[in-house]
Amino acid sequence: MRLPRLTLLLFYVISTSAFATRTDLHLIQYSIFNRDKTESHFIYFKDLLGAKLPKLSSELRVNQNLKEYGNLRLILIKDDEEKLVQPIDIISSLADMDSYWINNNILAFLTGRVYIKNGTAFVKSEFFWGELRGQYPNAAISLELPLDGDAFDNTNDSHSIAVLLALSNDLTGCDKPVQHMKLLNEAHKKAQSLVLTQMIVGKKLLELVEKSIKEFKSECA
Amino acid sequence: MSVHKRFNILLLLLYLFPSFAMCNTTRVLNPDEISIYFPLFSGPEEIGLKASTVLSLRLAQTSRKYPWPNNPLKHDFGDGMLIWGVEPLYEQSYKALSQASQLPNVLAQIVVSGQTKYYGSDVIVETVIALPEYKEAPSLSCEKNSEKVCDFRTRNFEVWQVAKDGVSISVGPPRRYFNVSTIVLSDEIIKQFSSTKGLAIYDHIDTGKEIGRTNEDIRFLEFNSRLPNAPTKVRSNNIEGYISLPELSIKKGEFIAMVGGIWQIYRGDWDAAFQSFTQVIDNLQTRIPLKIDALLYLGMIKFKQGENGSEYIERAAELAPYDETVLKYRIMAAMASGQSNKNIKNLIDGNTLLFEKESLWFNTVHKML
Repeated sequence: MRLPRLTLLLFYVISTSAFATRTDLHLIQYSIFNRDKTESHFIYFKDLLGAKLPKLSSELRVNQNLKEYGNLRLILIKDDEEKLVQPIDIISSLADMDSYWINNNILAFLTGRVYIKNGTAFVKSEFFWGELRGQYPNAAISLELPLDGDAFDNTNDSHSIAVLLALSNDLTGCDKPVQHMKLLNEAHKKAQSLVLTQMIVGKKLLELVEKSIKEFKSECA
Repeated sequence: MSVHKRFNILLLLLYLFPSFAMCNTTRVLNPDEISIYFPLFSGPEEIGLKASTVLSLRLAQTSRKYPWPNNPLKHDFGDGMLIWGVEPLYEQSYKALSQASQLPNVLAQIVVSGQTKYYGSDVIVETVIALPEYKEAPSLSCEKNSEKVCDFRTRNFEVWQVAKDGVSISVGPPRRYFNVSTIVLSDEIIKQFSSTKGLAIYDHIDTGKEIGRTNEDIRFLEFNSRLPNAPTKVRSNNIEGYISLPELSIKKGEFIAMVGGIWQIYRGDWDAAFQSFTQVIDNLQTRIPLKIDALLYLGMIKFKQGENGSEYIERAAELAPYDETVLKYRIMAAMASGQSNKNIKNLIDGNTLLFEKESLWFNTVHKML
């Protein structure tokens, strides 16, 4: 019952969004261990991420060169019963993942898990960015987000930085160097901030951003 | 609807603020009024109103009309105004904030919009700040279809200009839209301050006896932010006495330091602004984007005071080497400090990916070299 509708949805998305600027993230159900303790955190994470993307859009569109990113959004992929789709239903193999990413013209789709460490809830996302991986070797990158007070109000987090990297990698060639560098510059500033609060994921993203800048400069300067 | 009905307006005539002495040598005379607009913060029950009251009063404490006790150059930083809206903004974009602040009966230079929510027993406040762009001063008359709104100011203290052979370039605030770290307000403070109307006025700086309550119009006469409970001398409802202003429960004091600093930049109070931005960069928890802005402001202040602020601007460049705004500040600093044309050309040529080839600003720099 679920799949035909999903196929229709895919067809609709393909037919309406092919070649448009990628601005969407798809969120699929995360694994929840110990449901009583972690489910509320996942709900909170969805709200948080849903709020971060418009915030990031607002920041970007202040800049003349980045106005087209004024509509970044999170789409929750749901089944007939309005529940989030389980990963196993649509992306059970690497080939499925590639197809899903290609067919939906998205920046990335997210799967992951919620867990609690030393009393703080964390989200670990697999951010599948397919061909927008740029200098990163894999089609998916692991991102971590602590659901504490610092997560509330800003876009200096790992998910926002990954979005900026994906947006910059969506600009192919050297046609829009200023736009490209502005996206990487924003990612660079945010990644430096992240290093101060989440050293491991922060450093990983900072190195990736710096590598991307170096590569872009060597190609396009 | 009259201005009075729509907005609760406090005129801040700030006479005394005994914290630091002036050292710059050029007299500052600001004839204009600089306003901060607080749309009602959104949130459950009345916490939005209470949180915006607390934040705005705390912000007011960063301001002063004259240096005190010594003011040999007779500096006058003009009046500061706080304006409260009675409705929240449902959109938090730069455009929405700017439009709200540029209504004819507001015309604020700084807008602070916020969202509040409970987190345990505390209230957390997320703020977003915009610095709307107005017609360049003197903006005393605007055509009907003018691209930019007039705010009727005669000076733009927030703009830094460098001229050479009759050609000039300038930069304004590094960013006109940003947010600061979440502010945590204790339940106790939130309960204490429901609005600026009705605050208890005491007869003595050490609290003493209650002699009345504030009305909608409050004139702030003296701030004592370093004393316990920050007793503040006010005149309201024809009564003169002291109200206690809250010490914010600030895990990270970015909001007051950053927005207070910007307010003082607009007013030409360089020393107060310098002190504020120094707090921003000294705070280990300040996030990098805000730290970059603060360093740029610090550099600009030094140049405005007739000194060399290149050190601060170069520190910003270390953190943001790919930022067009930082590059502009570096070029301004290079010109203001008399660096050679060759150095400035090298700076531009090494960063051509950061700006559009047809950029008027960079083309003007080329003409100046």
